[in-house]
Amino acid sequence: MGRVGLLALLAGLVLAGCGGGKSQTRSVVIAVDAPFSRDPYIASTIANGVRLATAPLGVDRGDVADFRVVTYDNAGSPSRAVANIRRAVAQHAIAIVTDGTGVDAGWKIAAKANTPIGIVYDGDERLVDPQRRPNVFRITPTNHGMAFRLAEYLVPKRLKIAFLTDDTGYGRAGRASLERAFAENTRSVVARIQIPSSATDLAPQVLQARRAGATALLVWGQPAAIAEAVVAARSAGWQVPIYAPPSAEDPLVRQELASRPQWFDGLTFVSGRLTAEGGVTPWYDFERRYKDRFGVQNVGVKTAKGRTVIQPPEFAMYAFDFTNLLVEAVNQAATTDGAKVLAELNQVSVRGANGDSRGFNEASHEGVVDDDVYFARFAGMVFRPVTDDALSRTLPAISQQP
Amino acid sequence: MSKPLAALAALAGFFHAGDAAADVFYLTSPYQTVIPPPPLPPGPSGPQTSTEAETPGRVTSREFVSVGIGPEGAPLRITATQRLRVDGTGDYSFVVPAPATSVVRGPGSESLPGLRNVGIVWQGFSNRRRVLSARATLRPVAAAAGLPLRVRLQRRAGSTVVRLMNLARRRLPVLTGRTRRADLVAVLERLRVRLRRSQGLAGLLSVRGEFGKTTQLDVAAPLRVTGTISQGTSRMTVDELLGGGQPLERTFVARGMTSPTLSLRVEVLRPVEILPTRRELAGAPRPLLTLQAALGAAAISRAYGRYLSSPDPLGPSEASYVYRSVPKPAAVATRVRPAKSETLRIVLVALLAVAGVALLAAVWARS
Repeated sequence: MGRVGLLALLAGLVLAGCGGGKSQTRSVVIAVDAPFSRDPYIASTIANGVRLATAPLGVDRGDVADFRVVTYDNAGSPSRAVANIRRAVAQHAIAIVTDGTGVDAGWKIAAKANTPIGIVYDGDERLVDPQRRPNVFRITPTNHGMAFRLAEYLVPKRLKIAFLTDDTGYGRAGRASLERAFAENTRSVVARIQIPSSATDLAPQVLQARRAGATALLVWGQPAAIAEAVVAARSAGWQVPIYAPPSAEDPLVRQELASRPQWFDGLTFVSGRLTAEGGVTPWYDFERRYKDRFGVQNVGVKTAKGRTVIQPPEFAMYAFDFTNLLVEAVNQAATTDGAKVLAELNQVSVRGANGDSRGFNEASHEGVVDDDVYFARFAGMVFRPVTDDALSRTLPAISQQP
Repeated sequence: MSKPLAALAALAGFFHAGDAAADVFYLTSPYQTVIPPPPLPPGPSGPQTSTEAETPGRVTSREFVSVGIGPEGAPLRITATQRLRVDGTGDYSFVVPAPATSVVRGPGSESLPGLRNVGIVWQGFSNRRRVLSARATLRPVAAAAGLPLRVRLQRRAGSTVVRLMNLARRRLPVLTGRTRRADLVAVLERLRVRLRRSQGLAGLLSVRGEFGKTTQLDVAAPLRVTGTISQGTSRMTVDELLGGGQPLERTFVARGMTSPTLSLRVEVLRPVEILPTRRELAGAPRPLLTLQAALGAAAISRAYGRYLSSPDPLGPSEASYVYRSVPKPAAVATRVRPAKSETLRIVLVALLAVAGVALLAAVWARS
């Protein structure tokens, strides 16, 4: 090697020694880990929310770094999710945005690298704990909040409720939260039935609930389980009121009931409100930007008047808000150093997509407070807020037509 | 415009509404702000993204401040339990500034408080009425600055001298002038009626007369201190008014070799209790100054009723303070770890590089 070559090598070594680590990087990855192959609606809406938030960002705008979105498919499998978390950490991802799959098993891997995890779909109470899991945050209604709001809403109606929960992690977590929420009103619950997520006919379980004296079904499970429960009840001629978690909004449920839309009428689900007190303008502005970039999400069914039904990008909103909070934290920290970004995530707020203030704090890593949980009821394949709940009746109906 | 600003604007409107007569001047407002703390400032923090405070209606605040005092009387532990009652239907979102190190849900709270460097975070929906209660542990030095009472314990030849000092005092600018005693008495009566009706907005007070110059007046809000000072088996009962015509300091002597145990409750008097009576004002040698001093004391008293601030600056609020002896925390030896320094790494790399260049230069020179 010549002298010049040796000097160049040395200079290169010196420069390399000065670099390295996330804190020096000007372009950083935001990893999206979601069930793209198993539940493409949820996964794509999450990824699109992150993409929409990052699109205008970057060093040119005055941000600390440029942001690049990388997606990983966890297929609803915790082990695949853990592998994806490892890959994201290896890529020095600034954060991992996830539906929640595998967080229970993988959060420590991210914690060691000071990588924040933002859950934007799963409301499992155990997933988020600011003391034990300081790197795990969530923007989506919690199971705790939804279950307690359900109890608050249903118990005064003097219904005899049958819990039908599926055997997925989502269903089991929902069951645990429901048990806690109804613990002081156990007489309101007449049956607790677990349903196999693989079952295509829930007639035996629905019959069991009916024989137990149920006057309402509370079905907490994946979209397919909710659709099967509706089919089983209505095909037996049982017009029992049915209540469900946010998974009832999934287009899959309505697609499975497309041939019998009247069966779906009256199904009430619990979720986080889409609009803030300030009005619908911020939400529609967000929805318009989402549609302009990604197009509309057709549900695949029509209203009673034959009009196409579209799905509001609800979970995109949560991913969008988490990403904006993350970027605000990065900018406040003036670095992409994970530890500093994590600390700032406890301090910053942003104006959310629906106009609400979003933020975490040292005592709570939940970005949706329990008070923001509302109820909506389907009629003609579209939903609108119920009128017999204090919060819900203050909320406007969101347009679900293109 | 934020709700507090709108309310203050309304107050200003009231002020000007009574401005029609030229021979009128304005008295000190019992609602005027005095130099803080209280309310306590926010905790240490860098630049924050602020969001406007939002409440659906009136907010009532009640606070209980617990002060743990050490053997010399210095505050060692301070916690504040604030109970806010939000009246109205709608969203609420605000931060109560506080130098807090931790916060937990207080008794009866219908929501969970959050914590940031700047203070206690509240966000949610009120359905007609909502109770928000938080118990915050505060940084003692910052929090002590807002306390109304200072306690000092000094050992002296087989006894301990306990001094209680009223700190709820300020130097306030007050307007002097010439007015008729009967007009002042009439103003006093109107004010008493308003204060009995509501602790909230009562407007500013005008009186007929000629205003003079502004003078600085040292004013103290009277404190009612009750409780006990215990030394072994002996117990002294404390029931004192500090201020309000009584001395601002009071000394007690506890006999014995050990440090006495204190348990004291401090109440700031309500404005209506601070104002002179009709008879007192009628008999005062300088009635205008007497009334102005009382109004200033009421303003200070009102400030100490908001140890932690409320999102509704015109909403009713009250605070009580309890001082209790606590053991001094044992000193904990901590090992100081050298911080991982990026600078150090760069310097080391640079030194290695220089050494490498020197080595290469030497090889080059010999080749």
